[in-house]
Amino acid sequence: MNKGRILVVDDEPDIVQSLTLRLGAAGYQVMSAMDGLGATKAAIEQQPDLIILDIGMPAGNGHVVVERLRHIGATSHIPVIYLTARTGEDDYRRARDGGVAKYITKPFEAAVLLAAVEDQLERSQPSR
Amino acid sequence: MMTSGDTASPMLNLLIVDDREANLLSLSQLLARDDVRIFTALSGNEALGLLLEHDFALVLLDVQMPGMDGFEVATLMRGHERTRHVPLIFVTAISKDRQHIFSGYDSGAVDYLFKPLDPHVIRSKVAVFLELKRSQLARERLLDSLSRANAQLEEASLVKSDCLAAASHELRTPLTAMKEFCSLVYDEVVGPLNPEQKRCLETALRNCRRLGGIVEHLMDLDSLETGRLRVRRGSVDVGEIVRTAAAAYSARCRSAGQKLELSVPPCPQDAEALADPELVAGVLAQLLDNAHRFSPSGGTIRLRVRRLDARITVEVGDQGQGIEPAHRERIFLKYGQVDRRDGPGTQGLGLGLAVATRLLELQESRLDLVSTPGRGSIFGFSLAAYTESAHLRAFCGDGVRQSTRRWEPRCLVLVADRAGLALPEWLEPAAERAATGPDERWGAVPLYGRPALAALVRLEDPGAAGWVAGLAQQEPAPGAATSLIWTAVDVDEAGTPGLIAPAAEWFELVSQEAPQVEGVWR
Repeated sequence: MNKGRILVVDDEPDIVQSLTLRLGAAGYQVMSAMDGLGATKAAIEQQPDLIILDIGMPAGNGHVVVERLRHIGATSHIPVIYLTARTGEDDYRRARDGGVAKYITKPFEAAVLLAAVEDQLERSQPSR
Repeated sequence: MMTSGDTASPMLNLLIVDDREANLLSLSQLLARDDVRIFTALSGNEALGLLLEHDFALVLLDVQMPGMDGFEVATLMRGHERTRHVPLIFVTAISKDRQHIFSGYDSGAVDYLFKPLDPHVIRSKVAVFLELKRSQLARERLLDSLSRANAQLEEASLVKSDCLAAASHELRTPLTAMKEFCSLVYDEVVGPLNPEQKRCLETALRNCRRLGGIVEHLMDLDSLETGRLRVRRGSVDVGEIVRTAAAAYSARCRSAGQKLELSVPPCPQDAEALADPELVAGVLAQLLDNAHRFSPSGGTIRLRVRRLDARITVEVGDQGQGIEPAHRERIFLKYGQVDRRDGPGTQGLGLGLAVATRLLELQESRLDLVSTPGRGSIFGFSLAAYTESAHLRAFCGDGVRQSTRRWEPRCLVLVADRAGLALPEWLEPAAERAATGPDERWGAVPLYGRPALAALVRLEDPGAAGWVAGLAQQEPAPGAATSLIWTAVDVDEAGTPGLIAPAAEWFELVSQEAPQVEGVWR
């Protein structure tokens, strides 16, 4: 079964691996990137249905990635969920301004993340 | 002209003014000391010149001098900021009549000496003033070093906050991986488990969550201490917040065999308080968490909201072991958990009640405790019932408090009034009076281009209504930090503000993101 294609971006391999296992078990097809540049490339080339994005990363942090994706026609519509250890007011503000769908802080509850993913994919269904 | 020498104690300057060279010479010799530099002047003019150049511990001033006499010199000295506080002793040979003496004291002399001078008297008098100057200098040095130490402490506090923030961030990532992999195994994503394995992982996961909670609390408490938390009070349905908090805890309490009882006024108006909803929810979460952890299985946790006069009170009662009077103070401190070994919850750093206490302080409330050892505790707090004028007051008060804490104004209120009405004192620190002159000056009130958040305008003042109408049509000046919000305010003779117009619009605008204000302009 394939409930949707999700791009997971985090510079911590352990986090990427755990998310791949978790989302895979929930029936999603998962691809991954480890930095900002990789995230942008993967988003353009593989056209995921949803991106789960870390903020603190090398080669373009999450905010930079979101800004780039919003300016590229092929990726501007892809919903983004932040999954980050950052809790600064500035990060919340930039997330809101960049149209990020959901802001989840680490450590997170798997059930919360899965619910957010499902919710986002349902919302963007009609436009796909 | 002067004697000098480098000694450990700083040299002090003494000025002697007399039109006769011989007098200057004899006084200089009489008063010569290693730690004193003596300046002399033959006229008032010369004395004033020296006074502007040097810092003097004392001036001995002859009264009778040709040209400018001693009283005139004294009067001129009192008129100048730099010389106003220099101690003066008048020296005079004649006119022992009282009239003269009084005129001397009026022009600021601290003492009066008559010729011929008694060497003992004058030496000891001068010594007293030198001592005074020395202790004043020492005090200034002390103040200076204190303010430097203060600056260092503030700097250290900033470093501490940064360290905590960095530590919290660094801890989160490994903690996330740890918890997520435990959880993957526990959820049997990677293969089936036997019941024993499942129990072990449950314990691991519970501790991961606890660690996460500690990281969270550390940051909460730090942001409260450093004043980074923004308080935004408004109308709050406390009953609703209590219901939501109880719902969030019901599952946890049920699984621990605890009962949750709720008592909320049926009419929402009896639970409408002036508070910051997020802070109230934060306090309730801490109190519920506390009650849940310290109540035994089979116990009942009682949540009660009541209106008592102009206050809305909230109580959270548990049936735990209660708190001994001796431990009361401690539990409100950071890390100050009372050791209750055989209770169901011996875990936890005890940050929760400290956080709750701070959150309440920010809303001008406090945490109360009624406890009977062996029977249980009731933690409670009360909030002001909502009224519009209390809201306006709180809004300005919160803004001012934040600005003094962080040295940058968050809220500036412009008060435009023609009559120069007395401002209530809580408003004064945040206010700039824009206009107090006649009608024509309304047009000159420079509001746009200023980072003002609000203008309080008394509409019945002549010209005010037209001014407001004109303002509404103006384009904000380029570079203005924010647009202007205005409302009509009526301030009665006692200085109590009441809003003339319905204030809904005002508060709606004000509760939006507060603009960044750069620098104070006063």
